[in-house]
Amino acid sequence: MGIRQKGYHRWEGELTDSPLRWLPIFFNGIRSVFKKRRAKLLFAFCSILFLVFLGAIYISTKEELKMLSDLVRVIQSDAAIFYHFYINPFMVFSLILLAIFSGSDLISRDIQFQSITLYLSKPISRWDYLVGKYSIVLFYLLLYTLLPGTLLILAKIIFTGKITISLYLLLAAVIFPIVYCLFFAATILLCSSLSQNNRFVILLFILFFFATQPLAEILREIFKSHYFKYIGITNNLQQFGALVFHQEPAFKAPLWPSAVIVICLTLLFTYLIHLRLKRIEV
Amino acid sequence: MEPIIKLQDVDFYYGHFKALDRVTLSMGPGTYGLLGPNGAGKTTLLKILLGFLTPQRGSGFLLGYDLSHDPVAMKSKIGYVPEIGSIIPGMDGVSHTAYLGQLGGMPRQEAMKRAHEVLYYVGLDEARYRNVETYSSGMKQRLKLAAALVHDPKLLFLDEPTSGMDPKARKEMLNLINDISEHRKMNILISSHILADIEMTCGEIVIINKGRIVRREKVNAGQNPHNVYELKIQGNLSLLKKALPEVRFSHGQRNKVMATLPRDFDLHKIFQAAEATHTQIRHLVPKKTTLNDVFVSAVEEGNHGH
Repeated sequence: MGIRQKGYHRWEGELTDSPLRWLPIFFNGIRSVFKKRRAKLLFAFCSILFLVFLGAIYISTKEELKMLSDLVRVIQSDAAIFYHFYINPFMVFSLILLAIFSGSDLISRDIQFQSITLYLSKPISRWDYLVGKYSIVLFYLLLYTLLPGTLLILAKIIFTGKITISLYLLLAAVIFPIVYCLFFAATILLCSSLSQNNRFVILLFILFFFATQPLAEILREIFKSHYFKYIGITNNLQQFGALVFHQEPAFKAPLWPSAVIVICLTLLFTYLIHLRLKRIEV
Repeated sequence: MEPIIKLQDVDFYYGHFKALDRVTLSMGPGTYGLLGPNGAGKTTLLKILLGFLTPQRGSGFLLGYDLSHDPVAMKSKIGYVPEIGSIIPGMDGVSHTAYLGQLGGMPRQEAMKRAHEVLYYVGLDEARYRNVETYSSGMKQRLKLAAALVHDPKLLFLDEPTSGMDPKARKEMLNLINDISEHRKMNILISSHILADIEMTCGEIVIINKGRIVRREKVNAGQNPHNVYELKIQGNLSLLKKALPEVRFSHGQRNKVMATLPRDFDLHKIFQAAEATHTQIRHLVPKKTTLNDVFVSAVEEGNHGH
């Protein structure tokens, strides 16, 4: 395999200097995740909740199906639809699976194969790299939160024939899933940046969500205070949802600290990932 | 001619350790070799030139871009072949090369077209649809070279480009480097421990030791541009050394002594000093210096300088 002359020429084209330098990372990541084994199975599994809610909305809006209305009474208002859709344990479980599937190896594999050097030798900063990785996880998470959430409201409008959603709720329905998914994305990417071993990354991520719940319960039982429930990550997500969509709190404690915890953890995790990327030898 | 690389009094510290000490360097177009012993500051210098690190003092310009303020914009004009690892897993050769082209700012279709060309050029055309994780070390080096060439950079950095290659693959890689520098008119900076590689590919070398540039030479194999002479003496070498403070003596093979003379040094002074110190000179021949001699003498010089 010697040097080949044929076909080589100097490239005369223009290099683009777009501020969205991370876009190739996004498109490549989307393709890579979709090409993974069992991707379609997972995507189908995560769609179940949307189909269930679609059916429930249909039932709740049709007079002729009044005998089934007890089954769907939790989603009588628009805000309740969003709240119960986003905070549903099945949704949390789906998002955990999707985050693992789309994000657990995004940084860990780059560390393992020393690819970060290649990225940084291109006109890409560490922030561009990070935004690119975030965009991949966010795409898949929002595909199963923001998009079906919006479709559910559209479905309700179609089924009832009237627009009942307020502007506040419309904004909340867009902003809440973004913040919610950013939290999942930041957590999985932080775990991914901590190790080259994908299994360890997944274990760390699962522990973060599932080990904090029993810990919060144990401490609450010992100290007899609801405030220890703030230790549980899913508790905070429920409280945050209740705050945004004006629903009953998941436990008896103020709602706003949960919103602060979720937002601060997202920012802290992003900062830690960036710090970790700076520390990686290139 | 406008220099490609221009560094002025660049310092860099890792904690309290001074990795680069007032490095001043100007490199014009051409192929340069960056040499230095382990821990000399080679990698730090390379990282600064690549924009991975920012100089803590002094200024640096690469292709007219300020290394302290504009490192990201500068990177679209350079190509880099890292030494170890550095592949993006889960892709075939064409996608890998095209992806890196896109990251360099190329439009997607152009990058794909160009990826085929450069993979053909480096001799990976038959393996271009194979997953990059299945490539051998030599193939990975070629792949990285293709990825560095895909956007047609003005300056190419090669860090140990023949690392982990068998002799045949190494020769092919060196031929590629020579072809790129001679026919493609690309400027190249090679950092390597393998002096023979540098000798074969570079027009000029820069030697760094203890964070300082200690020597800069044109590569001119088989000649004696460095004024090194081989001596065999009978008598007291210390006295001769004292009599000739401007000459640097070092021990060679078989009781021979190597004398590095300053430029325009009159050889008769050696005989005069020998006579004065009652030392017999039994053998005095100009030494054909190899790059290895230049490297060793420069490093020793650097060590004495500190």
